[in-house]
Amino acid sequence: MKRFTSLTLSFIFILSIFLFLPPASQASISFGNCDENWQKCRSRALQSDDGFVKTTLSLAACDLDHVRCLVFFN
Amino acid sequence: MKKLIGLLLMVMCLLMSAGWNWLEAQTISHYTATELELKGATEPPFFYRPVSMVLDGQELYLLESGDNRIQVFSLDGRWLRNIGRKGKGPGEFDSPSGLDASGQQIYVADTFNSRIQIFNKNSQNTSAFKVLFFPDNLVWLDDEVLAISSLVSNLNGPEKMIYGYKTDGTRLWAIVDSQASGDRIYDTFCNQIFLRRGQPGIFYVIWKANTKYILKIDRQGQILKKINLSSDYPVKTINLPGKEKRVLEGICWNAGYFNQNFYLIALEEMENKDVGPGKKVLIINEEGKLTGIIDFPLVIKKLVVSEDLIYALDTEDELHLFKLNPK
Repeated sequence: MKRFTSLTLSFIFILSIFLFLPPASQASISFGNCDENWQKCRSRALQSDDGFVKTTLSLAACDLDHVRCLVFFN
Repeated sequence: MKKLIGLLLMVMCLLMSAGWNWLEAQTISHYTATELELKGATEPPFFYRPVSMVLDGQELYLLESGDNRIQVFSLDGRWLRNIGRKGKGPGEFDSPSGLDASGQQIYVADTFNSRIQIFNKNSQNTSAFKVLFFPDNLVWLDDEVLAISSLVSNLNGPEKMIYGYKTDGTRLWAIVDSQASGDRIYDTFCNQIFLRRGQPGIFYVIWKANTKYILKIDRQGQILKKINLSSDYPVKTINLPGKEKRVLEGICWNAGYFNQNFYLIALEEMENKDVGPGKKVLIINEEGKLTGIIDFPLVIKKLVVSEDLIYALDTEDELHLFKLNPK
């Protein structure tokens, strides 16, 4: 029972992060522009001149944003 | 007797191989980069997200993506003028990322506006044309032709990475397929390229990771030569974070070209355990052979080379001038 509760709470927590945190990209998400905003986010990540590992994390944030945009705006 | 001959042959082979290695080592020149004062600047010029740097005649052009402008300097670091500002109108930029200058014209890849803008030497915007992708790098090949790389998305499978355009906006050719393995992040690194202008009408494509050759291409989009990097080129293994094991073979952080030599900024482990630019620049000739190593007093992330002078940006985005000295 405890395990089930903790799993449910974890799921709700992750879902809430996914749904309610502001987008990682600086570009504002607008309806129908998911691909364009994703590209802008990636461009900024690459232009930032961070190391490979940090850039990987930035690109992952862009991908997460992209998925969220596709789910909620299309 | 047979044993003795065999032994002798083995010793000879070993000696020859050692001699060859010694000869190889002798052909690599070592340089140190000594910092020179930028006499025209009261303090080192610094920039907001600088993305491209070009020397043209007696001027140094620096494109700032963060401030949406080009800053123009004299060769001794004196600020001369700015070109552009943020916007969508003529002469305005939105996160530009590529720059080249031809002596008469300045060409800018105005990335988020999906267009190429052309300026004259008086900083006047003379023309512009739209492209159907986010332009990234560009090089001027002659008065009529530009080579432009795109920020690859792979959203609908592999894409062409480099396009030839006439300066009136007519598309001429599209070449080099992107890698599209399905892993978007990994592919993004594999598809990062630098375009560098060579002799008139010629340009080179240098990959940041995984592709261990440089392409030599002409103004018609014909690949003239595949320059394989020699086996002694120090490739840096990079383990990308994530659930799956993803390993990149890092080639360089950024690249310059001068007088038939490539100047590749070697990759090094950074203080935070990440992999980024280092203090060494590797000189590669047109045959792909490592011919020289330059040691810098600080980490540099972008450079332009002219004879024995190198203009470079450090990790704080400050401009420095270095002179090459043989060790």
